[in-house]
Amino acid sequence: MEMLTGWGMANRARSTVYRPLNAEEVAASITEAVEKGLSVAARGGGLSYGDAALNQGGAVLDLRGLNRILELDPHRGVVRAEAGVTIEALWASALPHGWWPAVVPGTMKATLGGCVAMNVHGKNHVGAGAVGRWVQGLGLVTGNGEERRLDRGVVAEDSDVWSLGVDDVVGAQGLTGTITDVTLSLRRVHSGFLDVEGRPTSSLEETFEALDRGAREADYVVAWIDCTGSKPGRGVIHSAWYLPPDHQLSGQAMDAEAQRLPSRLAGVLPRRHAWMALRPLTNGPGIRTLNAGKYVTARAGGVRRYRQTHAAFHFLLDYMPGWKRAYGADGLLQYQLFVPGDAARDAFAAVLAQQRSSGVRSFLGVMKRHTPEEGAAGYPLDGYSLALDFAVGRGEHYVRLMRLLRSLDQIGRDHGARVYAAKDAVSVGRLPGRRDRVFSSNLVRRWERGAHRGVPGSRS
Amino acid sequence: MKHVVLVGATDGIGKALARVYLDRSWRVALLGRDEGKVDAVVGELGSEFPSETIVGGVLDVARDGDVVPSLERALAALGQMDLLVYCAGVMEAGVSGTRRMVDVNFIGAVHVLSWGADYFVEAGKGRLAAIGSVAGDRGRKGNPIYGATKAALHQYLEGLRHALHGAGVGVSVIKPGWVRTRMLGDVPGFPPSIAASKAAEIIVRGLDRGRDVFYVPGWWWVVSSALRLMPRPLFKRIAPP
Repeated sequence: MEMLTGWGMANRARSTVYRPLNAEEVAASITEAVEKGLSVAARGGGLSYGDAALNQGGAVLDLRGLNRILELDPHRGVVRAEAGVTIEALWASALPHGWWPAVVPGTMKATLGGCVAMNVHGKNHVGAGAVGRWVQGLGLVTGNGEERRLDRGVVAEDSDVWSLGVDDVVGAQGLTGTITDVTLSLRRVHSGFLDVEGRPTSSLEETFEALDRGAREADYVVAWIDCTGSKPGRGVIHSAWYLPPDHQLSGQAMDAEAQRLPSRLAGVLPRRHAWMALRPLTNGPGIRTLNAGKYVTARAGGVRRYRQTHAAFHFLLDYMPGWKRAYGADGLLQYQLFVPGDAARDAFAAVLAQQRSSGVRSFLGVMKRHTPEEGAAGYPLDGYSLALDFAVGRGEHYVRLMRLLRSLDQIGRDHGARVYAAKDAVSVGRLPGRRDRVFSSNLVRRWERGAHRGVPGSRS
Repeated sequence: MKHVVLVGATDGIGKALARVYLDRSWRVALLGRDEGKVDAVVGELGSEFPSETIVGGVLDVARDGDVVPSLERALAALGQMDLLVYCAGVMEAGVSGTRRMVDVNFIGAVHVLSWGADYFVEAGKGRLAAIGSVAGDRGRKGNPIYGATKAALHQYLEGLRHALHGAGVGVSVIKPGWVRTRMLGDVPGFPPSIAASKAAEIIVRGLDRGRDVFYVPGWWWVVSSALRLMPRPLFKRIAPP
C-alpha cells in the first residue's frame, strides 16, 4: 500500500500500486488486482487536480514506465507512442521534424494516455478539437486482461457483448480499459515560435467577444480574468498564430534546447524557488493586489505583440515549478465549469458576483472557448469555460469556500454546465454510459454517489 | 477536501459531531456497532444535508479482528481521511462491566487509532482525536473503573502524540464534562451540563485549531485543574462524585 496525492495536494489515497513497463505487464497487473478483489485505476503524470487518479483501497496502475516512442513517421506526421510518454517527450522528438502535437494541455508533464483518457483540450479547442480527434488508433487492455488494438473507423467485434471503438475510450477516464499506446496525428509547424498578442479587455462582455474573435481568427486564444476588481471579468486576452512557411523565423527554434523554459524569471528569480515569492500574496489583500496589478500593467501597456516559443506560450503550469505550494499545506482546487454559449454570459456573471460576495478570493481566473466532441464522456460543448483557482485552506476559510462552491454548482445546474474530470474535486459530472466495473477511482465513486443522490446532469 | 472518520457516532457526541462536520461541508464516514442504527443515522443526516457526503460502516471495536477491515471499507467509500475521531465509549455500573469498558474505552481506541496513525504517517499530515473525560483526570469515587479506562486513554494519546509529532500528525485529547447524552441520561437538574450539539461545536473548534488537550466546555479546565492540584488528604475528605 502506498499513498498517492492528487496534483492539487488536497486529495490523497492509499492504494496497491503497480508499475508495469509494457502492455503485457499492464494485463498481468489488472488480472492480479481483479483476483485480489481490487478495483483498478490508471494514473499517468498524476496531474489531475482532484481525485481522478486516486483509488483508495484499490489498485493504481502507474503507467509512467510505458515511456517509449515506438514509431515516428517524419513525412506523414504520425507518431505511435506508449501511454506513459509525456507531452514533453512527444514534442521534443516531433519538433525537429517539423511537427507539434495539435492539442496540448497547460502542462507538458501530462502523459499521452492521460490526455486521451480525459480528452484534454488546449487553447485551440474550437479550431483543433480536443486530443481525441487526433487519435488514429489505440492499444488497450480491458478488464478481463485482454490486449486489444482499436483503430479509427473500425469497431472491433468481440466474443461478448463488448464492441469497442476509439470513441469509447477517448474521454472515458480509463473506465473501458487501460490505454497502453496511442497513434496520434501531429500538426505541421514551420517555426519553433508563435506570434503572440496580449490585449486587455475592460469588461466580461468584452472578454467574451474577444474570445469569440480569437476562436475565429487566431490559432490559439485564452483569457486571463481579474476576479477581484470592481469590474469582474476584465482581463487580458492572449492570442497566438503559427508562423507561415516563408516567415523569416521559419525553421528556427525547432529543437528542445531552444524551447527550454528559462531558468530564471525576469532574468533574476530562480524559477525553482519563485513560488516562495507568491506565498505571502495568497491571502485576500494579496490576491486583490496581484490581480489588480497584473490588470493595470496590461492596461497601461495596451495591445502588445511579441514572439514566444511554443513551450513558453502553452505550458504556463510548468513555468514556475512548485507554484501550487504557494497555496499552503492544504493545497488548491480548480473549479471549472463549461457552460453552453447562450447561457455563459449570465452564468459567469453570476459566478463572479457570487465569488466576490463570498469572502473567498480566486487567485486566478481563466476563460476559454469550446466546441462539442465525440467521445465517451462529455465535458466539451459549444460554449465557454471559466476556471477559478482557490486555496482549499482550513477552518472557516474552508467552510466559506465550500459554501461558495455549492452555490456555483447550483448556478452551473441552472445553466446546463458540465464538469471536467481532470480538474474536478467537488462537483458531480457525467460518467461514460459504457464502462467496465473493474475500473474505478475516487472520483468515479464520488460521481456515482452524486448520480445516486439524483444530482441533475450526472447521468450521461 | 476535508474528510473525517467518526468511530462510535450513532449516538451522543459522535452523532452531533457528524452533524456539525456535514454542516461545514466535510465528507463524513460514520461507524457504529449496530447496522440498523448506522443506516438510520446515515439516512437521517443524509436527508438533512442532501448535497453533502456521508457514508456508513459497521464496526464493533471490541472485535479486534474486524477493526481494520471495517475501517478500510469505510475509507474506500469515503475516499480519504484528514481527521479521525474516536467517539466510542461506554460507562457501565459495577465490576461486571469492567471488561466491556476496558474493551471499548481503551483497547478498541488503541486498535482504531493505531490504524489511523499508520495512515496519517504515510500522508505526512492529519489529526487523531479521541473523547476522553474529566473523569480520567483524577480517581473519582463515582465510577473508578470508567475513570481508569479514560485515564489510560489519556496516557496512551499523550504517548502517541509524542511519537507522531515528528511525522506531522497531531493528536488531540477531548475532555468533556457533563454532556447530555444517553450515557448520563436526561438527568434533570444535573449540574451545569450542556447539549451534545453544543459540545460538538466546541470540539470542532478545538480540533480546527489543532489543540492537543482541551475541555468541553472550556471552564472544565478550571475545575479539573483544581481537582488535580488538590492535596490527597483534602480530596479524600471532599470526595467529589
